[in-house]
Amino acid sequence: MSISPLICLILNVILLISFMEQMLTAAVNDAVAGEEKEKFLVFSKETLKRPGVILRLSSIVVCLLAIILSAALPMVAIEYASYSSSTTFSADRAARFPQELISGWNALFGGDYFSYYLKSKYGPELLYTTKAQFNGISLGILIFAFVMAIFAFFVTFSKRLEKYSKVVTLGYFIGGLGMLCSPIWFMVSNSFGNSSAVSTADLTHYFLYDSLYVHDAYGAIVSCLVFVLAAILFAVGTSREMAGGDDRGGEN
Amino acid sequence: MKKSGLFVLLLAPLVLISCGVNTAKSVSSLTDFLSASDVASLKIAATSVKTATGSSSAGQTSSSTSQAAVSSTSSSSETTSSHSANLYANEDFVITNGTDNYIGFSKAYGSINQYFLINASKKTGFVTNDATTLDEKRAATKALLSKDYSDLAAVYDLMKTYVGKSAKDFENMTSLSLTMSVNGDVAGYTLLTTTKENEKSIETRYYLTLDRFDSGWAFTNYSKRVTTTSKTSKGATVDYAVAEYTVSVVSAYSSFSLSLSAYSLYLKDAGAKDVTFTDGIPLTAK
Repeated sequence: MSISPLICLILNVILLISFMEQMLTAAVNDAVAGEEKEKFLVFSKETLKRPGVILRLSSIVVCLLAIILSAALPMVAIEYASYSSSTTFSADRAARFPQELISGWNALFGGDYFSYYLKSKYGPELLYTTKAQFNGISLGILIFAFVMAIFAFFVTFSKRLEKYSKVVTLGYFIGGLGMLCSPIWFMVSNSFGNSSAVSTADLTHYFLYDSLYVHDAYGAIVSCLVFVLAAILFAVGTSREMAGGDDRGGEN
Repeated sequence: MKKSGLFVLLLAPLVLISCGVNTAKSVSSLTDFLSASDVASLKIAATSVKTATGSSSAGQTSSSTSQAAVSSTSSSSETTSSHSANLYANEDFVITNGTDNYIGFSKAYGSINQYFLINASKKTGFVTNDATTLDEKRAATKALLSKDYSDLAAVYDLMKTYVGKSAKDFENMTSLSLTMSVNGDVAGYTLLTTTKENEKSIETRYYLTLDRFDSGWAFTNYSKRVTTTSKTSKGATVDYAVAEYTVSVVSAYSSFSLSLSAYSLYLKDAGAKDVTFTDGIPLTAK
């Protein structure tokens, strides 16, 4: 037996072992990647039967309902009230001003008209009519809430994102607080309601707002409560998932 | 049952959205203008008109502003561009019109009426039993009340000429907005226009407010603001002019009261020798 065939045999064995090692490594890597991919989003009937998952999915529906209510219900109420003896606005006129409700749609996208008083420092109390402006702040909050609802879906069906479950709960709360602050965003977007600004030289800051009372309409409170309900549902669902043993590998 | 419940749930927000609709809108036709009462059918108790003009440029601001209270005795330099008139029960009146600052009223002592006319600027006045003595100033007061209200009616008519038109219908006008709203027994009309001519921009704002009374709608508050912004080589200059009206309409005139301690009074066309007290003793004999 010459040496050449032996060397060739050895080299072939080494190459074969090397090839097998690479194949095995690739197979293992593929197996790991496949396993992780499988865990990222797991859907099964068994999963959907878990109370925690049901609660979390319910929170998504409730969140979407809150978003719809935020756009549909009256969010801002304009009234007048005499706050103190230093109030210059006519108490009689303040009492006669009926509550004016601004719909959520108008508070969000503007386009419709609303009215409030301009109290001149020279005396006239003028009922002013103006067009509502686009409210990017409120819309941003609702978009944020919508993103949270989508994120809640991924958190529900992904073990990898489970650690972000508190972010979803917090996001729902932020959405609720944001809607509760609707009057602030509305006044900012429409540039009215600042404290007494009576510079004669600047006619855009000429009026007193010492009796203006802009506050939450019932829609803002309802929307906030529905967002909070969504947060509670998701938090309880998360708690149930943790307590019940989180196994999204498909065994349960 | 479940489907109908779901339908109601989905429909509820759409139903509730109608609750948020307010009465404010853009004026699209003449029917959007309320029928305002004319001056003859109203009891106008008071009007007050104040004007302010000024300018600002390069951060430097100067202004001349008129400020006068209805019955105050402000310095004459501050009242040159303001006036006010008040009418009370028994046709008592107060008129403050720069040169004319008068208070006229009557007092009944048993079956005798005495008439007082006080020059509020000079803090002097007289007493007389001649009712016609007050007629001239009273007529001036009524005329001023009527004129001020008519001024607002003219503004109302001016607004009507903008109905159905856009900025394109006017020369150099870049924006035009005519809006109105009704909140309970108050209505407000707002007309905003902007015209641009070379380096000059003129923004004109009219605010007119009406209140509903027993006899109908009446003009009660008005403000006109004209802001002219001129661009020069040194920067921008802003000139502004403000005219503001307040009108008080009542269902019944209130009675007038005044403390005479601040005024010096004399008997018109009579002296101390002509005065006799109720016990028959003449004043000069006391």
